[in-house]
This record gives sequence, structure tokens and C-alpha cells, in this order.
Amino acid sequence: MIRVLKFQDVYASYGSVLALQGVSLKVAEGEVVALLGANGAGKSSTLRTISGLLRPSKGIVEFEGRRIDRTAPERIVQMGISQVPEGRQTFTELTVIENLRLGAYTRRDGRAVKQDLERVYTYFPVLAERRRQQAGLLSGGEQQMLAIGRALMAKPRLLLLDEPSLGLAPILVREIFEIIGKISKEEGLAILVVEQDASLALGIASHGYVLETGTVALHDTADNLKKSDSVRRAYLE
Amino acid sequence: MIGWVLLGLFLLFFPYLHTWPAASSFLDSVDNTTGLGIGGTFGVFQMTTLGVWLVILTGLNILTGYSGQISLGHGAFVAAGAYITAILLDQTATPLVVAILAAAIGTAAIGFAIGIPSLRLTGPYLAIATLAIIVSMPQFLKWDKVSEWTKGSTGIDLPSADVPTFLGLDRFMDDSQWLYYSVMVPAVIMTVLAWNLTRSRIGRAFIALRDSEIGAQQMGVNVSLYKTLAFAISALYAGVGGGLFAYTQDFVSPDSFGIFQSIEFLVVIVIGGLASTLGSVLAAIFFVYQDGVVLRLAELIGFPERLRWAFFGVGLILIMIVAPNGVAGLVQRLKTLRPATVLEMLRQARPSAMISRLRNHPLAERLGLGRRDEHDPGDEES
Amino acid sequence: MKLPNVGLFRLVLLLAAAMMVLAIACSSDDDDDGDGEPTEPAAETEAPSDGDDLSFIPEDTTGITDTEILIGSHMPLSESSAAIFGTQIVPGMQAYFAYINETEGGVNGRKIRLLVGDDHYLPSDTNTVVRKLVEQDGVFAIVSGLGTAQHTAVFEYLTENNIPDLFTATGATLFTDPITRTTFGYNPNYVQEGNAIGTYIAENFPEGTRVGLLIQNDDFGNDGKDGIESGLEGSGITITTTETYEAVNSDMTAQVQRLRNADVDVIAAYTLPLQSGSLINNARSTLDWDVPIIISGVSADPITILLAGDAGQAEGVITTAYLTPTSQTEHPGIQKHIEIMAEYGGGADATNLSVYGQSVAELTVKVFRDAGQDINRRNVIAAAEQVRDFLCSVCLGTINLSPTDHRSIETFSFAIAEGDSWVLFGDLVSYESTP
Repeated sequence: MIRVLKFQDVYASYGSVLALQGVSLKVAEGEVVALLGANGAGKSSTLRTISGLLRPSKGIVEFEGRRIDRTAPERIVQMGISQVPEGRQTFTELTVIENLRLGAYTRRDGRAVKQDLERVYTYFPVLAERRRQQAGLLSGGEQQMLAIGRALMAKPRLLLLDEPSLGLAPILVREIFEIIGKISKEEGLAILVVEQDASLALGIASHGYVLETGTVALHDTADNLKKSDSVRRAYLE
Repeated sequence: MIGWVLLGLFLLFFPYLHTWPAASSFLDSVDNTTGLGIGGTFGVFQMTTLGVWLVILTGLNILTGYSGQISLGHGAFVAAGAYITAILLDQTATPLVVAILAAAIGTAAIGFAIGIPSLRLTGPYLAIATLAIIVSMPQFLKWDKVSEWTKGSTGIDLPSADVPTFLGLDRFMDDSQWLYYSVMVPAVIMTVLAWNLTRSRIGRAFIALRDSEIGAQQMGVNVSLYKTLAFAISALYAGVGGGLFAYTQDFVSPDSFGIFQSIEFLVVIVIGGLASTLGSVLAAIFFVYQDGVVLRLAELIGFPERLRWAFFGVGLILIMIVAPNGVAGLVQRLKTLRPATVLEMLRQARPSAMISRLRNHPLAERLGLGRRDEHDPGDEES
Repeated sequence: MKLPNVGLFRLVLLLAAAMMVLAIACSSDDDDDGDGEPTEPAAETEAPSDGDDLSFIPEDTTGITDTEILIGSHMPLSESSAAIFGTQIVPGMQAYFAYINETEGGVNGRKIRLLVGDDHYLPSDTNTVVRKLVEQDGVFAIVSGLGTAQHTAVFEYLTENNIPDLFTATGATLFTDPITRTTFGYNPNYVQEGNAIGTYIAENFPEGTRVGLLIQNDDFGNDGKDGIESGLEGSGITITTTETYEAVNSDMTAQVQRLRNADVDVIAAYTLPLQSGSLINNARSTLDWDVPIIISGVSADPITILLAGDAGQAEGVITTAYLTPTSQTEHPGIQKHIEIMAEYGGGADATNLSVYGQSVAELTVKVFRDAGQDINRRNVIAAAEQVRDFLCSVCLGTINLSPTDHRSIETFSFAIAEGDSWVLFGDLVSYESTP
């Protein structure tokens, strides 16, 4: 398997507050990896470090074999990493289709963009129905779909999902996770998903990392993690 | 298409309309009824100033409407452009076009420089910072170190614009007509350019960072660059507008750009329509012609003209509730508007609904008064 | 091509349709006023009547009908702190014109009608309102245009179009020096007034007195400073400290403190009422400092005394005046003014500024009357240049104008704050430049 993302002993901090204290992790092509942990464990800091918003003070971050720990955020997007931010952050005053077009902001291959638009519509038919509607008028679930669709429009090879279940009804969450799993399979896309709801995340992930106070406390396959006593106690029950 | 041709013909021949007796008496009768001020040489002058404000308001709409940054001190950029032009025309033999280009570049540079510290400010803080710029501007213009060029509090009095004699131009037009074309040509070009800009990659980036800075960043938009770029482009428009202002008014002084005026800029683009080229055009029309109409209205219903701002305030709030996208949005909605929809809207017109519409208005959001559901990016894992 | 084009097209159509409807609706009553052009070609061919060197001014009668003389003015009436001037001066002018129209049937059988454009004290708005008055309303002359920067914005326009620009409401020298034949000043200029203040200090304070200035950072303040310096010349008294402020700032605490620290013996101020009040209040109340204070006549209004704080803190402050203050209720001119305001003032009070308005209106009526039955733009200028020894009902000194002197009021007096009003004292000071 081709390694897409590699974190090697990464340290990062906000001022004097250490957020990451030697995190190492790997994501391979076509693989869904879950990042679990309590609030403040370092999940979001890990995502911010990948997307270039947080500079590591030590350690190496590699994307497809190239170091990105000193690369500008917009360049990282161009290289092929897209993030679906927490809280979705759709462009509420624009229509669905305008949002999706903006997802392809860094791309210059107009024709392929059109094809990708159709592809997003097949994953999320509801977005096709609502294409002329203002994003702000969509329901929470639809907005989450739009945010994922928008991230896909950048044609990423690594997709970062930050708390996709936040504030959504369970039935919608399940639907969205099913689609995520399908995308990963069909596109060979590597996905790193940060999620509070560990059972959901481990349902589609092949393996997962459990973070505690900025370090990796546990790393195993999804099946093993589901069985693990500590994980069960902390996140599944 | 035919609409554009008609509009173009109208703009092209407008300065000669009042010389044609039939049209002239028609324009005068419109003025007598509405107080608009479109007839005679005064009508040409009003239309000329419309061109000047159109450039300025289009620029402000790029900044506030598209990129979502508020400026309560936009008059300071206009002043910069006006002064650069006036100083060059007054103290050097610079041709007008070069002077206005210099104003455009100079003001854009100032805008860029002001845009950088503004990166750290949002909502009410940015509003206050920009207000501080317009408040301190007169002091700067009167400062000993620069008063050699700015002529201090006296201001710069330029000779009034005359129609040039080359190509026998003076046989075809008088000074007021010449002034009209020298303003309207750049104004139309700048408006079309702005329209293109807002539909380009840059325009899309502005909209993205307006709606969600985090979202824009995730799309690969360089947020800092585009925020300062919006300031620079907006200032460039203000610079050109200021240059045209100096040329048409043939006088600039520290008193020429009031705080009230800068606030009025913002009010009229909200009324006209934020993030819309048509909105900027309507804003400019409103800015120039409302004075005469309000005056006429005041005569008719007998309230003192001094209450103009009370009238404005009520009108602004109504527009914010009824038409969040301004009159431009309303015009575009007209064709989809059915009586049933109107009835439904009236049925739902409860005070709480109105307040929530005000809170959700883009202007309230830009001022940081609106509802906020975005997370502060520095607020880790809250 | 997206929606905006459609929207714009619709709007243009909509506007056009609306205009047409309105035009049809009102086409019955628009026949009476056809001409709004500043120049009438027929007038230029006629022979000049008097003042032959004025022949460059057409004998234009725009704004003159058999029954009316239509004039215009630009004043701040709203949206600026300067609106306190316009909102008091205009009623004073309107009341006097109404009084003349009612009791004397106007001037030479023509009633005077004054249109005022509110320029919000913004020069670009002055440009718009004055052009509207001239080109659309077709006024005969502009009278008492207020504000230095504001009037500068239209000065050249009025001059080029030979429109009588009578009695500008500013003390700036630039409209009267050098002479522009169509423009006449009204207020005593600040240099002359400053000279009088400087002379007063030189005569009433010992050699070696330390003078502190507080001036507004513009022409008003700078002209005043120049005048004071010239008045002090050769007296052995010098200005030791000059403090400035911007017109938008009304709190003088810091400036007064610095004057105190500089240990000055007398303060002379070119300040507007708001700042004058702050100056006096800070000196007397905050610093408990009884330094003599002399302020420009611009602040010679009861409001200054009010703003200086209670307990008679302004008592003894000195200023200049060129019109009788309304506090002199026994003065026949003031009595008459109060009557006129009550009858024709439309509810406005008689104030020192409405007195000002009436005084300008009186001079205007005088000039229009002298221009005669065949009043036109040329002979009205000639008439203005022939005003000699005219004493308006509320003026302290006479007004003299000539082809070489377009400064109206050049005589004034000193006044001292007593109780809640200003009381005149001492001899008249005259800078009259018409022989």
C-alpha cells in the first residue's frame, strides 16, 4: 500500500501550551483512519498541523513522500489535501453549486471540474436537487454533505474530516458515514476522520489511533479497538 | 442585449438631451414633480457626479459587499485620490489621465498598507479603526510637514475644467458636456471591470472569505493576501473616484470629506444592494438624487428636511428587513414574487422575526453584531 | 450572462415608465417657468448703463420677474455642528424679507424670495446646491453663502458665470483680497479683528506680558493669529505659546492645561462657541485660574456663556462684536428685530445670529433698491459698489463699499460678558478702507 500521510514524532504548541507531544501516525491510499480521543487530546491540532495552519516545532509531516510541515496552507490544498472543517463552514450566502465550484478553487482544469461536479451529485443526489438554493437554507445534514462535496471538488488524495457527526441526527450521521465509506472505496481516497462517536468512526475505518494529552495512547485495527476494554470504556459506552 | 444598447445610447446622448426642446421640457417637468434634478445643465452636472460616486461606491461594495470587510472611513481613500490628483494638477504639468492613474496607484498602495494591520481586526474593531482614519485625516492634511503640498486648511483650488480645443472638440460640446464624458467613460469602464472581477477567481475568493474564512482557507484561498487585496482594489477605485472628484469639483479641502459622508456611503450600498454591481449603480443613483427627492417630499408632506437622517434610518431598517439584498435584490426577486408569497411574508411578520432578520443581515454580520456560528480558529478544541 | 442585466434593463424601463406617468400627470402646471439658464443671450447686446468698467457683466435678469426677485444661498442646516449658524441666520433673513414684502410690497414692486440650499457644510454639496440654485431654480444672485471652504468650492463657478455673489458669510480674506468684482464679503475679516484684539492687549497690558493663543487649526485660526501678531507689533508684548485644536474636537482640557503650564498672563482665542465654552470652563473651574481671556467675535453668543458653566464663570471674558446683541433690549433696532421675528420668523427665536441674518437682508434690500426698477446683474454690482455710510438697524458701524473695497463690515466694538449676555464697551474700532 502506498503511504499517503506520515507523521513522525511531531511536536506542536500554541504559545506555551503543548498540543502535540511526539505524535506519529500513518495513512495509506484507499484507507479510512479514525482519530479518537477526548476533548483537548490533540485531534484538531493534528488536523491543523496537516493542513498547515499549525506549524510543528519538531518532527516531520510528509504527504506522498514530500515534507509539508513548512508549506503554506493554500499550497497544501493544491498538493491534494482537503479538509471538511468542524462546523462545516459552508458559504451560506452562495448557492449549492457556487459552493461546489469554490471547492475547485485551486484547480485550473475546467472540464474535469464539470465531471467532478456530476460525480459529487451522484454521491449526494440531494445536492443536485438543491443546486440553486442558498447554502444557508439547507438542513444541517445537507450542509455537511455540501461541505464534503465541496472538499471532494478539490480532487484530493487525502480527505480530512473534522467531527462530521457534530449536531446531526443519528440517522443522518449513519447515512453520511455510509457515503464516506463508499467514496473511500470507489475513489481510492485516503480519509482521516476525527470523531467523538468512536463506534461510528470505527465502523468505516480500517484502523484507528487514540490520542491522549498530545500523544498516541493506542494504535490498532478498527476491529481490535472496538474490542479493546479501555476504548470501550472511554468512548463506546 | 437591447437593454444594454438602450442604456449605452442613453448615457452617450444624455448631455445633449436637454438641448433638444421636446426632451428638455420633459426632463424639466420630471424635475418639477419629483425634484430629481436631471434636466438642463444642472442635470448634466448631477449625472457627472453620479459617475464619480459610482466609481467610489463600486469600490466600497467590493470591500464590504464581496470581501465582507467594513470600512466606515472610506472617504479617507477618496480624499487621498483627490489630493494626489489635485496636487499633481496644481503643482506640476501632469496631464489629467496620468494624474488620475497616479492617484489610483498611490491610493491602492495606501489601501494595501492599511489592509495589513486590518487583517487582525474584524467586525466592530475594523469599523472603529477605519473610522479613526477618517477622523484623523483632516489633521494629517493640515500637518506642517505636508501642508506645502496640501495647502493646509485652505485646500487646493484648481482651475475649472474646460473642454480642450484639439480635434475641434469645443465646437461639439460645452464644458459641462466635456466633464460628463471625462467622468462617464472611466466610470463605465471601472464598473464593467468590477463586474468582471466579482465573477472571476478573485471575486469568488472574496465571497468565500466573506462567508467563511475557515472554509475559504480550506479551499486553498490565501486569506491574508485576498483580504489585503480587497482593501487595495477598493482603495484603487476610491483613488480614481477621488481623482475624478477633484477634477469635477475643482476644489479639495480637508473639509471636503466628512465622517457623515463615509457613513452615508455604507448606508447607500446597503440600500442599493451589497455584493451586487447593480446594487452599486442603484446606490450611486440614490446617493446623488435622494437629496432633491427628499426635499420635494419634505415640501409635499411638510416635515423638516433636517429629518433626512431619521427618514434614512427608518428606510434603512425597512430595507434590511424586507430586502436583505437591497433594492437590487428586490428588483431581481420581483419576477419570482407572487401575491401568495407576499401574503405569506406579511403573515409571518412578527417583531421577533423582524429582529432576527436584522440580526442575520449581512451588514450586522460585518459589524460583528449578527449571529455568529463560526468558531474562532485559534480556539483549540473548545 | 446572469441576472443583473435583466434587472438593470427592467429597472431602466421601470424608471422610464415612471417618469412618463409623472410627466403626463403634471404637464398642466409646468408652463410658467421655462428658463433656468444662467445667461440670456438677448441681454448681452444691450448698451451698458452705468459703471462702464463693469461692462463684462451681462445685464442679465435671470430670477427677476415683474413681481419677484429670486435669490439663493448655501447654508449648513443639518448634519454638521455648523448647522447652528444656518438654522438661526436663515430665519433672520427670511423674516426680514417677509417683513419687507408684506409692509412695503417688496423692493420696487418686486417681492424677494430666498431659496436656501442645505450643503451640510460639505464643499462638494455646496457645489451641487449652488449649481441647482443657479441652473435649475434660476436665481438672480447668491446671498450670504456661509463657510470658507464651502464658498471656495463655488467661488470660481459664480465668478465665471458673472453671478452676483453678495455678502459671503465668512471672515476669510480670500474672497475680497484681491477684489473679484462680482463677490462681496460681509463679516469683518479675522486679520482685522485679530489686529484689534492684539492692539487691545498692547494697550491694556504691561510690557513683558506673556500671551497664550488657542486657535482652531485652519484659516480662521491662522488669520486670527496673524492679526493678533500684527496688533502686538512694537508693544514689547509677545505670543509665548500657541495651542491648536481641530474643529471636530470640542474638549479643550489638554490645551488649557498646557497654557497654564506655560504660565501665560492672558489668553487670546480663535475658537468656536463650543471650544470657547470649554476653554473658559476649564480655566475657571478645573484649574481655578483667573487668567484674562479674549475670544473672537465668532463666539460672541450667549451660548458661549452658557457652555462656560454656571456661577458666572464667563464673567469678564472679552470679545468683539459688530452687531448689537439681542441682550440690549432697549435698542430700537433690536426691539424691531424681536417684533419682526415674532411676526414673520415662523416660530424661530430672535438670537444674535438671527440679528446677523436680518442685517445681511437689510444690506441686500438696500442694494436691490438702489439698483432700481431695471435691476439686472450688472447694475446690482454697480449699486453694491456705491454703498456709502449705510447703517443697518442693528449694526454698530456704517458699511462702505467701492470698486476697490468689497469688505462690508470693517467697524466693530469690544464686548464683555456680564451675567448671561455680552455688553458692549469702549470706542468703535474702524478699519474702513473706502475713503
